[in-house]
Amino acid sequence: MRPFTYERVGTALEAAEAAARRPGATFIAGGTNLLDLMKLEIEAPLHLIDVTRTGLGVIAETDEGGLRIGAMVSNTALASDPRIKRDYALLARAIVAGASGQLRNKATTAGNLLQRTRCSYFYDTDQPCNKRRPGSGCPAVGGVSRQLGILGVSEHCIATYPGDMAVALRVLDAVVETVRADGTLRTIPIADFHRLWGDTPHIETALEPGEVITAVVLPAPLGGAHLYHKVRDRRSYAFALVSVAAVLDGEGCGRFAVGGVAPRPWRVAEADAALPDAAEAARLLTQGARTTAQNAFKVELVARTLAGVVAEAKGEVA
Amino acid sequence: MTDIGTGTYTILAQTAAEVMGLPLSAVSVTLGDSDHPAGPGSGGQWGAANSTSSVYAACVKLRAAVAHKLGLDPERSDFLDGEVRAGNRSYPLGAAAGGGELVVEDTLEYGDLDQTYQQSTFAAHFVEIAVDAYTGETAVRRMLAVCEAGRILNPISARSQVIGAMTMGLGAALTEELAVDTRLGFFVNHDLAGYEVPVHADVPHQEVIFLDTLDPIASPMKAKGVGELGLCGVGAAIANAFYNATGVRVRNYPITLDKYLDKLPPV
Repeated sequence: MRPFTYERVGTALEAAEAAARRPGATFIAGGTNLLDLMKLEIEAPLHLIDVTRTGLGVIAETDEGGLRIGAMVSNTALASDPRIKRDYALLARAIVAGASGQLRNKATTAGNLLQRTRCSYFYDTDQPCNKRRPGSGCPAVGGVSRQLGILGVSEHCIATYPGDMAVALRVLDAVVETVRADGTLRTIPIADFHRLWGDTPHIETALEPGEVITAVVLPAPLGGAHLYHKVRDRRSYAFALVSVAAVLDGEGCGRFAVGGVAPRPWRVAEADAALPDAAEAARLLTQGARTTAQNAFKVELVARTLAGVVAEAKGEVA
Repeated sequence: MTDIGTGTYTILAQTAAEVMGLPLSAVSVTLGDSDHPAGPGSGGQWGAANSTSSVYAACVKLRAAVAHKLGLDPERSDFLDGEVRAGNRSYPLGAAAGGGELVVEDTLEYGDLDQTYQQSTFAAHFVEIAVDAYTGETAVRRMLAVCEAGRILNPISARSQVIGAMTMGLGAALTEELAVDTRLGFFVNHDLAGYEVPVHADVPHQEVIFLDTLDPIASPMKAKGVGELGLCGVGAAIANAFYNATGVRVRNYPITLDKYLDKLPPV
Protein backbone atom coordinates (compact mmCIF):
# COMPACT_ATOMS: atom_id res chain seq x y z
CA MET A 1 0.00 0.00 0.00
CA ARG A 2 1.23 3.51 -0.85
CA PRO A 3 1.40 6.25 1.80
CA PHE A 4 -1.55 8.62 1.97
CA THR A 5 -2.85 11.43 4.13
CA TYR A 6 -6.23 11.42 5.81
CA GLU A 7 -8.86 13.85 6.97
CA ARG A 8 -12.35 13.57 8.35
CA VAL A 9 -15.07 15.99 7.28
CA GLY A 10 -18.38 16.89 8.92
CA THR A 11 -20.67 17.47 5.93
CA ALA A 12 -21.01 16.30 2.35
CA LEU A 13 -20.28 19.83 1.09
CA GLU A 14 -17.06 19.90 3.13
CA ALA A 15 -16.14 16.58 1.53
CA ALA A 16 -16.64 18.01 -1.96
CA GLU A 17 -14.66 21.13 -1.05
CA ALA A 18 -11.84 19.05 0.40
CA ALA A 19 -11.70 16.98 -2.77
CA ALA A 20 -11.52 20.13 -4.89
CA ARG A 21 -8.55 21.32 -2.80
CA ARG A 22 -6.64 18.04 -3.00
CA PRO A 23 -6.00 16.45 -6.39
CA GLY A 24 -5.59 12.69 -6.07
CA ALA A 25 -8.03 12.50 -3.14
CA THR A 26 -10.59 9.72 -2.72
CA PHE A 27 -13.57 9.47 -0.39
CA ILE A 28 -13.65 6.63 2.07
CA ALA A 29 -16.70 5.32 3.93
CA GLY A 30 -16.89 1.61 4.83
CA GLY A 31 -13.77 0.93 2.80
CA THR A 32 -14.88 -2.62 2.04
CA ASN A 33 -13.81 -2.29 -1.59
CA LEU A 34 -11.36 0.63 -1.47
CA LEU A 35 -8.99 -0.88 1.08
CA ASP A 36 -8.62 -4.05 -1.00
CA LEU A 37 -7.92 -1.95 -4.07
CA MET A 38 -5.36 0.14 -2.18
CA LYS A 39 -3.57 -2.92 -0.79
CA LEU A 40 -3.29 -4.28 -4.32
CA GLU A 41 -2.25 -0.79 -5.53
CA ILE A 42 -5.03 -0.81 -8.09
CA GLU A 43 -5.98 2.47 -6.50
CA ALA A 44 -3.30 4.63 -4.91
CA PRO A 45 -5.00 7.78 -3.59
CA LEU A 46 -2.72 10.44 -2.14
CA HIS A 47 -5.36 11.59 0.30
CA LEU A 48 -8.42 9.99 1.91
CA ILE A 49 -11.44 12.04 2.89
CA ASP A 50 -13.46 10.19 5.51
CA VAL A 51 -17.16 10.84 4.91
CA THR A 52 -18.56 8.55 7.59
CA ARG A 53 -19.34 11.43 10.03
CA THR A 54 -21.32 13.54 7.58
CA GLY A 55 -24.67 12.94 9.26
CA LEU A 56 -26.02 11.03 6.27
CA GLY A 57 -26.94 7.85 8.12
CA VAL A 58 -30.70 8.45 8.23
CA ILE A 59 -33.63 7.02 6.27
CA ALA A 60 -36.39 9.66 6.03
CA GLU A 61 -39.82 9.69 4.46
CA THR A 62 -40.28 12.00 1.45
CA ASP A 63 -43.27 14.22 0.63
CA GLU A 64 -43.89 12.00 -2.40
CA GLY A 65 -44.49 8.94 -0.24
CA GLY A 66 -41.07 7.44 -0.81
CA LEU A 67 -37.89 7.19 1.25
CA ARG A 68 -34.66 9.18 1.19
CA ILE A 69 -31.80 6.85 2.13
CA GLY A 70 -28.78 8.72 3.44
CA ALA A 71 -25.54 7.93 1.64
CA MET A 72 -23.95 6.57 4.83
CA VAL A 73 -26.77 4.18 5.79
CA SER A 74 -25.11 0.79 6.09
CA ASN A 75 -26.27 -2.12 3.98
CA THR A 76 -27.31 -3.91 7.16
CA ALA A 77 -29.32 -0.97 8.47
CA LEU A 78 -31.00 -0.52 5.08
CA ALA A 79 -31.91 -4.17 4.60
CA SER A 80 -33.30 -4.44 8.13
CA ASP A 81 -35.28 -1.18 8.17
CA PRO A 82 -38.97 -2.08 8.73
CA ARG A 83 -40.15 0.34 6.02
CA ILE A 84 -37.75 -1.15 3.51
CA LYS A 85 -38.72 -4.69 4.43
CA ARG A 86 -42.42 -3.87 4.18
CA ASP A 87 -42.55 -1.62 1.10
CA TYR A 88 -39.31 -2.30 -0.77
CA ALA A 89 -38.63 -5.96 0.00
CA LEU A 90 -36.85 -6.26 -3.34
CA LEU A 91 -34.14 -3.95 -2.05
CA ALA A 92 -33.72 -5.84 1.23
CA ARG A 93 -33.54 -9.17 -0.62
CA ALA A 94 -30.97 -7.91 -3.10
CA ILE A 95 -28.76 -6.52 -0.34
CA VAL A 96 -28.73 -9.68 1.77
CA ALA A 97 -27.90 -11.71 -1.34
CA GLY A 98 -24.54 -9.94 -1.47
CA ALA A 99 -21.27 -10.05 0.46
CA SER A 100 -21.35 -11.25 4.08
CA GLY A 101 -22.90 -10.00 7.29
CA GLN A 102 -19.61 -8.45 8.37
CA LEU A 103 -19.14 -6.60 5.09
CA ARG A 104 -22.75 -5.39 5.03
CA ASN A 105 -22.27 -3.93 8.50
CA LYS A 106 -19.48 -1.71 7.16
CA ALA A 107 -20.61 -1.12 3.58
CA THR A 108 -22.64 2.01 2.85
CA THR A 109 -25.40 2.83 0.39
CA ALA A 110 -23.23 5.24 -1.63
CA GLY A 111 -20.17 3.03 -1.42
CA ASN A 112 -22.11 0.05 -2.70
CA LEU A 113 -23.07 2.01 -5.83
CA LEU A 114 -19.40 2.79 -6.37
CA GLN A 115 -17.94 -0.67 -5.90
CA ARG A 116 -15.71 -1.52 -8.78
CA THR A 117 -15.77 -4.49 -11.10
CA ARG A 118 -14.40 -7.86 -9.99
CA CYS A 119 -12.83 -8.70 -13.36
CA SER A 120 -9.72 -10.75 -12.55
CA TYR A 121 -7.63 -8.90 -15.12
CA PHE A 122 -8.57 -5.58 -13.51
CA TYR A 123 -7.53 -7.02 -10.16
CA ASP A 124 -3.97 -7.97 -11.18
CA THR A 125 -1.66 -5.03 -11.80
CA ASP A 126 0.68 -7.21 -13.88
CA GLN A 127 -2.01 -7.59 -16.54
CA PRO A 128 -3.09 -5.06 -19.14
CA CYS A 129 -6.47 -3.46 -18.45
CA ASN A 130 -8.07 -0.49 -20.16
CA LYS A 131 -9.92 0.34 -16.97
CA ARG A 132 -6.76 0.42 -14.87
CA ARG A 133 -4.30 1.63 -17.52
CA PRO A 134 -6.24 3.25 -20.35
CA GLY A 135 -4.98 2.11 -23.73
CA SER A 136 -3.16 -0.99 -22.43
CA GLY A 137 -5.73 -3.39 -23.89
CA CYS A 138 -8.31 -5.84 -22.59
CA PRO A 139 -7.05 -9.42 -22.17
CA ALA A 140 -10.46 -10.48 -20.83
CA VAL A 141 -11.75 -10.42 -24.39
CA GLY A 142 -10.60 -13.82 -25.60
CA GLY A 143 -9.42 -14.70 -22.10
CA VAL A 144 -11.08 -16.13 -19.02
CA SER A 145 -14.42 -14.39 -19.33
CA ARG A 146 -17.01 -16.75 -17.89
CA GLN A 147 -18.04 -14.24 -15.22
CA LEU A 148 -17.93 -11.17 -17.46
CA GLY A 149 -20.40 -9.00 -19.34
CA ILE A 150 -22.54 -9.66 -22.40
CA LEU A 151 -24.50 -6.40 -22.66
CA GLY A 152 -23.35 -2.79 -22.87
CA VAL A 153 -19.77 -3.97 -23.20
CA SER A 154 -17.24 -2.93 -25.83
CA GLU A 155 -14.06 -4.16 -27.43
CA HIS A 156 -12.24 -2.09 -24.80
CA CYS A 157 -13.83 -3.65 -21.73
CA ILE A 158 -16.24 -6.47 -20.91
CA ALA A 159 -16.32 -6.01 -17.15
CA THR A 160 -19.58 -5.96 -15.20
CA TYR A 161 -20.94 -3.88 -12.41
CA PRO A 162 -20.86 -6.65 -9.81
CA GLY A 163 -23.33 -5.51 -7.15
CA ASP A 164 -26.81 -6.60 -6.12
CA MET A 165 -28.30 -3.51 -4.45
CA ALA A 166 -28.24 -1.36 -7.59
CA VAL A 167 -30.15 -4.01 -9.57
CA ALA A 168 -33.05 -3.59 -7.15
CA LEU A 169 -32.69 0.21 -7.24
CA ARG A 170 -32.95 0.07 -11.03
CA VAL A 171 -36.28 -1.74 -10.84
CA LEU A 172 -37.48 0.71 -8.20
CA ASP A 173 -36.44 3.73 -10.35
CA ALA A 174 -34.32 5.21 -7.58
CA VAL A 175 -32.61 8.59 -7.95
CA VAL A 176 -29.12 9.47 -6.71
CA GLU A 177 -28.68 12.89 -5.08
CA THR A 178 -25.31 14.63 -5.01
CA VAL A 179 -23.55 17.83 -4.04
CA ARG A 180 -20.62 19.48 -5.78
CA ALA A 181 -17.86 21.68 -4.40
CA ASP A 182 -19.60 24.84 -5.58
CA GLY A 183 -22.59 23.87 -3.46
CA THR A 184 -24.84 22.93 -6.38
CA LEU A 185 -27.09 19.90 -5.97
CA ARG A 186 -27.83 17.34 -8.67
CA THR A 187 -30.07 14.33 -9.13
CA ILE A 188 -29.05 11.41 -11.31
CA PRO A 189 -31.55 8.67 -12.21
CA ILE A 190 -30.10 5.28 -11.33
CA ALA A 191 -30.53 4.32 -14.99
CA ASP A 192 -27.88 6.89 -15.92
CA PHE A 193 -25.61 6.53 -12.91
CA HIS A 194 -23.32 3.76 -14.21
CA ARG A 195 -21.82 4.49 -17.60
CA LEU A 196 -21.40 2.03 -20.42
CA TRP A 197 -17.72 1.38 -21.07
CA GLY A 198 -17.41 2.48 -24.70
CA ASP A 199 -13.81 3.56 -25.26
CA THR A 200 -13.44 5.07 -21.77
CA PRO A 201 -13.91 2.12 -19.41
CA HIS A 202 -11.89 3.93 -16.73
CA ILE A 203 -14.79 6.37 -16.31
CA GLU A 204 -17.39 4.30 -14.51
CA THR A 205 -20.12 6.63 -13.26
CA ALA A 206 -21.84 9.89 -14.09
CA LEU A 207 -20.27 11.55 -11.05
CA GLU A 208 -17.93 14.43 -11.74
CA PRO A 209 -14.56 14.45 -9.97
CA GLY A 210 -15.12 15.41 -6.35
CA GLU A 211 -18.91 15.14 -6.54
CA VAL A 212 -20.38 13.57 -3.38
CA ILE A 213 -23.41 11.27 -3.15
CA THR A 214 -25.70 12.47 -0.36
CA ALA A 215 -28.72 10.18 -0.71
CA VAL A 216 -30.59 7.63 -2.78
CA VAL A 217 -34.28 8.43 -3.12
CA LEU A 218 -36.92 5.77 -3.61
CA PRO A 219 -40.24 6.77 -5.20
CA ALA A 220 -43.50 5.64 -3.59
CA PRO A 221 -43.71 1.86 -3.13
CA LEU A 222 -44.69 -0.55 -5.90
CA GLY A 223 -47.21 -3.20 -4.98
CA GLY A 224 -46.75 -6.77 -6.09
CA ALA A 225 -44.31 -9.59 -5.51
CA HIS A 226 -40.78 -8.38 -4.86
CA LEU A 227 -38.42 -11.10 -6.10
CA TYR A 228 -34.64 -11.27 -6.33
CA HIS A 229 -33.02 -14.39 -7.72
CA LYS A 230 -29.24 -14.45 -7.78
CA VAL A 231 -27.58 -17.31 -9.63
CA ARG A 232 -24.01 -18.03 -8.64
CA ASP A 233 -21.59 -20.92 -8.45
CA ARG A 234 -21.79 -21.22 -4.69
CA ARG A 235 -24.69 -20.34 -2.48
CA SER A 236 -23.20 -17.48 -0.49
CA TYR A 237 -20.39 -14.95 -0.76
CA ALA A 238 -20.08 -15.05 -4.53
CA PHE A 239 -20.85 -12.55 -7.27
CA ALA A 240 -23.78 -13.19 -9.56
CA LEU A 241 -23.42 -15.01 -12.83
CA VAL A 242 -26.86 -13.56 -13.46
CA SER A 243 -29.33 -11.99 -11.08
CA VAL A 244 -32.94 -11.02 -11.75
CA ALA A 245 -34.72 -8.37 -9.72
CA ALA A 246 -38.44 -8.08 -10.39
CA VAL A 247 -41.62 -6.54 -9.08
CA LEU A 248 -44.49 -8.51 -10.59
CA ASP A 249 -48.23 -8.90 -10.15
CA GLY A 250 -49.98 -12.25 -9.86
CA GLU A 251 -50.17 -12.54 -13.66
CA GLY A 252 -46.41 -12.15 -13.99
CA CYS A 253 -46.64 -8.62 -15.38
CA GLY A 254 -44.48 -5.80 -14.07
CA ARG A 255 -40.85 -4.82 -14.38
CA PHE A 256 -37.45 -6.40 -14.03
CA ALA A 257 -33.75 -5.72 -14.26
CA VAL A 258 -30.81 -8.07 -14.63
CA GLY A 259 -27.46 -7.96 -12.83
CA GLY A 260 -24.12 -9.63 -13.52
CA VAL A 261 -24.32 -9.08 -17.28
CA ALA A 262 -23.40 -5.46 -17.97
CA PRO A 263 -21.63 -2.31 -16.74
CA ARG A 264 -24.89 -1.35 -15.08
CA PRO A 265 -28.07 -3.12 -13.93
CA TRP A 266 -29.72 -3.91 -17.25
CA ARG A 267 -33.33 -2.95 -17.82
CA VAL A 268 -35.21 -2.57 -21.11
CA ALA A 269 -38.67 -0.97 -21.32
CA GLU A 270 -39.77 -3.23 -24.20
CA ALA A 271 -38.77 -6.26 -22.17
CA ASP A 272 -40.88 -5.10 -19.22
CA ALA A 273 -43.81 -4.66 -21.62
CA ALA A 274 -43.43 -8.22 -22.96
CA LEU A 275 -44.12 -9.75 -19.54
CA PRO A 276 -45.53 -12.21 -18.58
CA ASP A 277 -43.95 -13.87 -21.64
CA ALA A 278 -40.60 -14.53 -19.98
CA ALA A 279 -38.95 -15.95 -23.08
CA GLU A 280 -39.87 -12.93 -25.17
CA ALA A 281 -38.98 -10.52 -22.38
CA ALA A 282 -35.57 -12.16 -21.99
CA ARG A 283 -35.05 -12.11 -25.75
CA LEU A 284 -35.74 -8.39 -25.85
CA LEU A 285 -33.55 -7.73 -22.83
CA THR A 286 -30.54 -9.61 -24.20
CA GLN A 287 -30.94 -8.39 -27.78
CA GLY A 288 -27.57 -7.37 -29.20
CA ALA A 289 -25.64 -9.35 -26.63
CA ARG A 290 -21.92 -9.43 -27.32
CA THR A 291 -20.79 -12.76 -25.87
CA THR A 292 -17.59 -14.75 -25.63
CA ALA A 293 -17.37 -18.54 -25.91
CA GLN A 294 -17.16 -18.70 -22.12
CA ASN A 295 -20.02 -16.39 -21.17
CA ALA A 296 -22.53 -17.07 -23.94
CA PHE A 297 -24.46 -19.28 -21.50
CA LYS A 298 -25.57 -16.14 -19.69
CA VAL A 299 -28.10 -15.39 -22.44
CA GLU A 300 -29.96 -18.61 -21.72
CA LEU A 301 -29.39 -18.23 -17.98
CA VAL A 302 -31.16 -14.85 -18.06
CA ALA A 303 -34.13 -16.43 -19.85
CA ARG A 304 -34.34 -19.37 -17.47
CA THR A 305 -33.92 -17.30 -14.33
CA LEU A 306 -36.57 -14.84 -15.49
CA ALA A 307 -38.91 -17.74 -16.30
CA GLY A 308 -38.45 -19.03 -12.76
CA VAL A 309 -39.11 -15.60 -11.25
CA VAL A 310 -42.28 -15.13 -13.34
CA ALA A 311 -43.47 -18.60 -12.36
CA GLU A 312 -42.89 -17.74 -8.72
CA ALA A 313 -44.91 -14.53 -9.02
CA LYS A 314 -47.74 -16.51 -10.57
CA GLY A 315 -47.62 -19.01 -7.73
CA GLU A 316 -46.58 -21.85 -10.00
CA VAL A 317 -43.46 -22.64 -7.98
CA ALA A 318 -42.52 -22.05 -4.39
CA MET B 1 4.94 -35.60 11.98
CA THR B 2 2.60 -32.67 12.40
CA ASP B 3 -1.04 -32.10 13.28
CA ILE B 4 -2.68 -30.32 10.36
CA GLY B 5 -6.00 -30.16 12.13
CA THR B 6 -6.76 -33.84 11.97
CA GLY B 7 -6.35 -34.51 15.72
CA THR B 8 -2.90 -36.12 15.70
CA TYR B 9 -2.05 -34.68 19.12
CA THR B 10 -5.17 -36.26 20.57
CA ILE B 11 -4.75 -39.77 19.18
CA LEU B 12 -1.05 -39.90 20.08
CA ALA B 13 -1.81 -38.82 23.65
CA GLN B 14 -4.68 -41.32 23.84
CA THR B 15 -2.40 -44.13 22.70
CA ALA B 16 0.32 -43.29 25.22
CA ALA B 17 -2.16 -42.78 28.05
CA GLU B 18 -3.86 -46.08 27.45
CA VAL B 19 -0.69 -48.13 27.17
CA MET B 20 0.95 -46.45 30.18
CA GLY B 21 -2.18 -46.49 32.36
CA LEU B 22 -2.22 -42.70 32.73
CA PRO B 23 -4.90 -40.05 32.46
CA LEU B 24 -4.81 -38.11 29.17
CA SER B 25 -3.82 -34.98 31.07
CA ALA B 26 -0.54 -36.62 32.16
CA VAL B 27 0.66 -37.02 28.58
CA SER B 28 2.22 -34.21 26.60
CA VAL B 29 2.82 -34.60 22.88
CA THR B 30 5.29 -32.49 20.92
CA LEU B 31 5.24 -32.47 17.14
CA GLY B 32 6.79 -30.60 14.28
CA ASP B 33 10.30 -30.24 15.73
CA SER B 34 13.26 -31.05 13.50
CA ASP B 35 15.03 -32.57 16.51
CA HIS B 36 12.43 -35.34 16.53
CA PRO B 37 13.06 -38.62 14.73
CA ALA B 38 11.75 -38.78 11.19
CA GLY B 39 8.09 -39.80 11.07
CA PRO B 40 5.64 -40.67 8.36
CA GLY B 41 4.18 -37.18 7.99
CA SER B 42 0.52 -36.33 7.78
CA GLY B 43 -0.91 -37.20 4.40
CA GLY B 44 -1.91 -40.07 2.19
CA GLN B 45 -3.50 -41.91 5.11
CA TRP B 46 -0.02 -42.42 6.58
CA GLY B 47 -0.12 -40.31 9.69
CA ALA B 48 -2.55 -41.77 12.18
CA ALA B 49 -1.90 -45.49 11.85
CA ASN B 50 1.90 -45.19 11.67
CA SER B 51 2.38 -42.55 14.34
CA THR B 52 0.14 -44.22 16.86
CA SER B 53 1.82 -47.55 16.16
CA SER B 54 5.23 -45.95 16.78
CA VAL B 55 3.98 -44.47 20.02
CA TYR B 56 2.60 -47.86 20.95
CA ALA B 57 5.96 -49.52 20.24
CA ALA B 58 7.84 -46.90 22.27
CA CYS B 59 5.41 -47.28 25.16
CA VAL B 60 5.86 -51.06 25.22
CA LYS B 61 9.59 -50.46 25.45
CA LEU B 62 9.04 -47.84 28.14
CA ARG B 63 6.95 -50.27 30.17
CA ALA B 64 9.82 -52.76 30.06
CA ALA B 65 12.28 -50.06 31.15
CA VAL B 66 10.00 -48.98 33.99
CA ALA B 67 9.50 -52.55 35.21
CA HIS B 68 13.22 -53.20 35.05
CA LYS B 69 13.96 -50.07 37.12
CA LEU B 70 11.46 -51.16 39.75
CA GLY B 71 12.74 -54.71 39.80
CA LEU B 72 9.54 -56.13 38.34
CA ASP B 73 8.85 -58.58 35.56
CA PRO B 74 7.38 -56.52 32.71
CA GLU B 75 5.31 -59.50 31.57
CA ARG B 76 3.60 -59.67 34.97
CA SER B 77 3.18 -55.93 35.59
CA ASP B 78 -0.04 -53.98 35.18
CA PHE B 79 0.04 -50.27 34.35
CA LEU B 80 -3.15 -48.79 35.79
CA ASP B 81 -4.26 -45.45 37.26
CA GLY B 82 -0.74 -44.02 37.24
CA GLU B 83 0.68 -47.02 39.06
CA VAL B 84 2.69 -50.11 38.24
CA ARG B 85 1.30 -53.17 39.97
CA ALA B 86 2.76 -56.66 40.24
CA GLY B 87 1.31 -59.16 42.69
CA ASN B 88 0.74 -57.28 45.93
CA ARG B 89 3.35 -54.60 45.11
CA SER B 90 2.45 -51.25 43.70
CA TYR B 91 4.56 -48.20 42.74
CA PRO B 92 3.70 -44.81 41.34
CA LEU B 93 4.78 -44.84 37.69
CA GLY B 94 7.04 -41.81 38.27
CA ALA B 95 9.06 -43.69 40.88
CA ALA B 96 10.83 -45.53 38.07
CA ALA B 97 12.51 -42.29 36.99
CA GLY B 98 13.95 -41.79 40.45
CA GLY B 99 13.59 -38.02 40.25
CA GLY B 100 15.22 -37.90 36.80
CA GLU B 101 14.13 -39.00 33.36
CA LEU B 102 13.59 -42.35 31.78
CA VAL B 103 13.87 -42.07 28.04
CA VAL B 104 13.31 -44.74 25.42
CA GLU B 105 13.01 -44.68 21.65
CA ASP B 106 11.71 -47.31 19.32
CA THR B 107 11.28 -47.66 15.61
CA LEU B 108 8.63 -49.40 13.62
CA GLU B 109 9.32 -50.75 10.18
CA TYR B 110 7.05 -52.88 8.08
CA GLY B 111 9.55 -54.98 6.17
CA ASP B 112 7.91 -56.55 3.13
CA LEU B 113 4.36 -56.08 4.34
CA ASP B 114 3.44 -53.99 1.32
CA GLN B 115 4.74 -56.77 -0.94
CA THR B 116 2.65 -59.43 0.74
CA TYR B 117 -0.62 -57.63 1.45
CA GLN B 118 -2.67 -55.07 -0.33
CA GLN B 119 -3.77 -52.60 2.35
CA SER B 120 -6.71 -50.38 1.62
CA THR B 121 -9.53 -48.54 3.23
CA PHE B 122 -13.02 -48.82 1.85
CA ALA B 123 -16.00 -46.49 1.76
CA ALA B 124 -19.28 -45.94 0.00
CA HIS B 125 -20.46 -42.37 -0.56
CA PHE B 126 -24.11 -41.47 -0.93
CA VAL B 127 -25.28 -38.06 -2.13
CA GLU B 128 -28.66 -36.45 -2.69
CA ILE B 129 -28.71 -33.34 -4.86
CA ALA B 130 -31.33 -30.97 -6.19
CA VAL B 131 -31.13 -29.17 -9.53
CA ASP B 132 -33.33 -26.12 -10.12
CA ALA B 133 -35.46 -26.90 -13.16
CA TYR B 134 -35.37 -23.24 -14.20
CA THR B 135 -31.89 -21.95 -13.46
CA GLY B 136 -29.97 -25.20 -13.37
CA GLU B 137 -28.46 -24.34 -9.99
CA THR B 138 -27.19 -27.44 -8.22
CA ALA B 139 -27.37 -27.92 -4.46
CA VAL B 140 -26.25 -30.92 -2.46
CA ARG B 141 -28.88 -31.81 0.13
CA ARG B 142 -27.52 -34.83 1.99
CA MET B 143 -24.26 -36.71 2.13
CA LEU B 144 -23.42 -40.00 3.81
CA ALA B 145 -20.11 -41.84 3.96
CA VAL B 146 -19.90 -45.41 5.21
CA CYS B 147 -16.27 -46.15 6.00
CA GLU B 148 -14.07 -49.10 6.86
CA ALA B 149 -10.62 -48.20 8.14
CA GLY B 150 -9.83 -50.77 10.79
CA ARG B 151 -9.80 -49.50 14.37
CA ILE B 152 -11.12 -45.93 14.50
CA LEU B 153 -8.66 -44.33 16.90
CA ASN B 154 -10.94 -41.47 17.87
CA PRO B 155 -14.50 -41.52 16.50
CA ILE B 156 -15.02 -37.80 17.09
CA SER B 157 -11.92 -36.51 15.34
CA ALA B 158 -12.17 -39.16 12.61
CA ARG B 159 -15.76 -38.11 11.93
CA SER B 160 -14.71 -34.46 11.71
CA GLN B 161 -11.92 -35.36 9.34
CA VAL B 162 -14.22 -37.33 7.07
CA ILE B 163 -16.85 -34.56 7.07
CA GLY B 164 -14.12 -32.10 6.14
CA ALA B 165 -13.00 -34.36 3.33
CA MET B 166 -16.59 -34.73 2.08
CA THR B 167 -16.82 -30.94 1.96
CA MET B 168 -13.56 -30.82 0.04
CA GLY B 169 -15.00 -33.30 -2.44
CA LEU B 170 -18.11 -31.19 -2.78
CA GLY B 171 -16.00 -28.17 -3.71
CA ALA B 172 -13.98 -30.17 -6.20
CA ALA B 173 -17.17 -31.46 -7.81
CA LEU B 174 -19.15 -28.23 -7.99
CA THR B 175 -17.14 -25.03 -7.61
CA GLU B 176 -13.37 -25.30 -7.48
CA GLU B 177 -11.40 -24.72 -10.65
CA LEU B 178 -8.07 -23.06 -11.27
CA ALA B 179 -8.49 -20.89 -14.35
CA VAL B 180 -5.33 -20.24 -16.36
CA ASP B 181 -4.98 -17.75 -19.19
CA THR B 182 -2.49 -19.70 -21.29
CA ARG B 183 -1.79 -16.70 -23.53
CA LEU B 184 -0.45 -14.71 -20.59
CA GLY B 185 0.67 -17.50 -18.26
CA PHE B 186 -1.75 -15.93 -15.81
CA PHE B 187 -3.44 -17.76 -12.98
CA VAL B 188 -6.67 -15.85 -13.27
CA ASN B 189 -8.43 -16.77 -10.02
CA HIS B 190 -5.37 -16.80 -7.81
CA ASP B 191 -7.10 -15.93 -4.55
CA LEU B 192 -10.04 -17.09 -2.48
CA ALA B 193 -12.26 -14.41 -4.00
CA GLY B 194 -12.04 -16.06 -7.40
CA TYR B 195 -11.31 -19.67 -6.45
CA GLU B 196 -14.54 -20.66 -4.78
CA VAL B 197 -14.31 -23.18 -1.97
CA PRO B 198 -17.63 -24.22 -0.41
CA VAL B 199 -19.16 -21.98 2.24
CA HIS B 200 -21.57 -23.10 4.95
CA ALA B 201 -24.56 -22.48 2.71
CA ASP B 202 -23.23 -25.09 0.27
CA VAL B 203 -22.61 -27.75 2.88
CA PRO B 204 -25.62 -29.96 3.52
CA HIS B 205 -26.54 -32.45 6.18
CA GLN B 206 -23.59 -34.84 6.42
CA GLU B 207 -23.34 -38.16 8.19
CA VAL B 208 -20.54 -40.67 8.67
CA ILE B 209 -20.80 -44.31 9.66
CA PHE B 210 -17.64 -46.20 10.62
CA LEU B 211 -17.87 -49.96 10.39
CA ASP B 212 -16.72 -51.66 13.58
CA THR B 213 -13.71 -53.59 12.29
CA LEU B 214 -10.08 -54.24 13.11
CA ASP B 215 -7.28 -54.77 10.58
CA PRO B 216 -4.78 -57.06 12.31
CA ILE B 217 -2.37 -56.94 9.38
CA ALA B 218 -2.10 -53.24 8.59
CA SER B 219 -0.50 -51.98 11.79
CA PRO B 220 0.01 -52.92 15.43
CA MET B 221 -2.89 -50.59 16.28
CA LYS B 222 -5.05 -52.54 13.80
CA ALA B 223 -5.93 -49.14 12.39
CA LYS B 224 -5.67 -47.46 8.99
CA GLY B 225 -5.87 -43.79 7.99
CA VAL B 226 -9.07 -42.03 7.02
CA GLY B 227 -7.90 -38.91 5.14
CA GLU B 228 -8.54 -39.79 1.51
CA LEU B 229 -11.35 -42.09 2.52
CA GLY B 230 -13.73 -39.18 3.02
CA LEU B 231 -12.69 -37.47 -0.20
CA CYS B 232 -12.26 -40.08 -2.91
CA GLY B 233 -15.63 -41.01 -4.31
CA VAL B 234 -17.48 -37.83 -3.36
CA GLY B 235 -17.00 -36.23 -6.77
CA ALA B 236 -18.19 -39.37 -8.53
CA ALA B 237 -21.20 -39.66 -6.24
CA ILE B 238 -22.17 -36.04 -6.95
CA ALA B 239 -21.70 -36.48 -10.69
CA ASN B 240 -23.81 -39.65 -10.62
CA ALA B 241 -26.52 -37.97 -8.56
CA PHE B 242 -26.50 -35.06 -10.99
CA TYR B 243 -26.93 -37.49 -13.88
CA ASN B 244 -29.71 -39.22 -11.98
CA ALA B 245 -31.48 -35.89 -11.47
CA THR B 246 -31.06 -34.45 -14.95
CA GLY B 247 -30.14 -37.19 -17.40
CA VAL B 248 -27.08 -35.12 -18.29
CA ARG B 249 -23.55 -36.47 -17.97
CA VAL B 250 -20.94 -33.83 -17.22
CA ARG B 251 -17.50 -35.31 -17.78
CA ASN B 252 -15.25 -32.58 -16.46
CA TYR B 253 -15.20 -31.02 -13.02
CA PRO B 254 -16.36 -28.73 -11.65
CA ILE B 255 -19.96 -29.36 -12.68
CA THR B 256 -20.95 -25.72 -13.28
CA LEU B 257 -24.12 -24.71 -15.00
CA ASP B 258 -22.43 -23.29 -18.10
CA LYS B 259 -21.50 -26.89 -18.97
CA TYR B 260 -25.03 -28.29 -18.94
CA LEU B 261 -27.58 -25.47 -19.06
CA ASP B 262 -28.29 -25.99 -22.78
CA LYS B 263 -28.88 -29.72 -22.20
CA LEU B 264 -31.59 -29.33 -19.58
CA PRO B 265 -35.24 -29.66 -20.58
CA PRO B 266 -36.70 -26.32 -21.70
CA VAL B 267 -38.85 -24.35 -19.25
